[in-house]
Amino acid sequence: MEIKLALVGNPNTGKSTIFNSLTGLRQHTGNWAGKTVTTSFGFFEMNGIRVKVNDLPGTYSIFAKSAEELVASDFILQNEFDVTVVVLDATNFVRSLVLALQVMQVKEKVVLCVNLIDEACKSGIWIDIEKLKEMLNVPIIATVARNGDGIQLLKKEIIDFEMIDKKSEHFRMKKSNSYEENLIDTYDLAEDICKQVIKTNPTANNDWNRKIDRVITSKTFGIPIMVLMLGVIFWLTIVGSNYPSSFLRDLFFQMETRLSELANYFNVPLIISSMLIEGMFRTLGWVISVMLPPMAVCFPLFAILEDYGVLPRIAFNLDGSFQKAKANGKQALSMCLVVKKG
Amino acid sequence: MIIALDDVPPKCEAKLEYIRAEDSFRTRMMELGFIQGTKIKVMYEGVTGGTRAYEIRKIVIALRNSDAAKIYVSVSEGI
Repeated sequence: MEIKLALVGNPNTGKSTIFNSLTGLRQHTGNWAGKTVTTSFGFFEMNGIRVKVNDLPGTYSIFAKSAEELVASDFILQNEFDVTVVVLDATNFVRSLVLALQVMQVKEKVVLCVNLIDEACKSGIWIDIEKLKEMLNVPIIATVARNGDGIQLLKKEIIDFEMIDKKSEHFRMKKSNSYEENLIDTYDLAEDICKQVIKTNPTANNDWNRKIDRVITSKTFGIPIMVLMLGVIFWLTIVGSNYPSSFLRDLFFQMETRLSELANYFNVPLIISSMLIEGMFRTLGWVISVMLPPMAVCFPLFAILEDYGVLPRIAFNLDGSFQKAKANGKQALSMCLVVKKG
Repeated sequence: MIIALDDVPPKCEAKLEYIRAEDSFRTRMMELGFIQGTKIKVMYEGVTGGTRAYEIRKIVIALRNSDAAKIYVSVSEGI
């Protein structure tokens, strides 16, 4: 028996982390246009039931139209999934809830997974999960996917759906005339629900974020900070990858010598041995030793910048110049990578 | 007084009235929470200009001025 499961959520809700902890697969997904916009899938097993998990690209609406979002909406609307898990961001709950309510309008078996509960706590947001459960009448699990908290409960909830074949008699919205009307209703409802289940403790946390934003986007410090940050990354990449690079080069050189000796020993014709060893093997060695270490250093560093939201701010700052070139601030990242390759 | 969003001075708050644009842009903005009556606050401007950040429904969204010009908001007189 196999259950087909779809994983939906807004961009940056930790959906991929949930996917990884459910399936144990390592993968990376982003939402920059041009990157993988197809879906990835993995499996997990519990109580002898196999669950196929489909990770869909992040989306703000299941009726959305941008390239990567279209993949998600097509999947939800057309594919026959047994269970849909909506990943909600506790720190940005209204917007997440809008998507969840949309999914609940078209799907029967829905599990809500409220992620980043720890982050929300830090910024003084407290969500009454029990009350939310009562209001929506769907299974809701709070998770901190990074530590794996709540993942087992989530698995159990998914399995339960099939085991007892329960149809959730969850809350349904009233029919609207048009999509826009429906959106307005959904937003109203989401905000109304939030008012009832969320308690906020206005700490300085958000103010801090805004203050940092103000400095990063200021005319005086904006560009210097950005140049400094990218400079440090470039420096780390160049210096940091020198050592593994030379190590790999030595290693491949030694292997090449051994291979030549071996070829001589077996009297391999010169034309074949030089083609294989001095041609193919040497090129392979060069490419790996030159390309691999910088990538291994630079990509994780960029991942960190992305996690802390630095990249969108760089894109924001530079968008003015990019507009003049009819391009997009997002492309600053691609340009950085090109510079690096050079 | 109803003006375009890109004309709202920094740090001022405005209320969304309507979006005058093609359907796809309008629904896109609505999905992001730009719905009639929503409060929008101008936060900061990108270093190279042409783009501004707005606070709406407790989150910050960056919009190009050319896009913000399609969004009409009401502000109190005297701004």
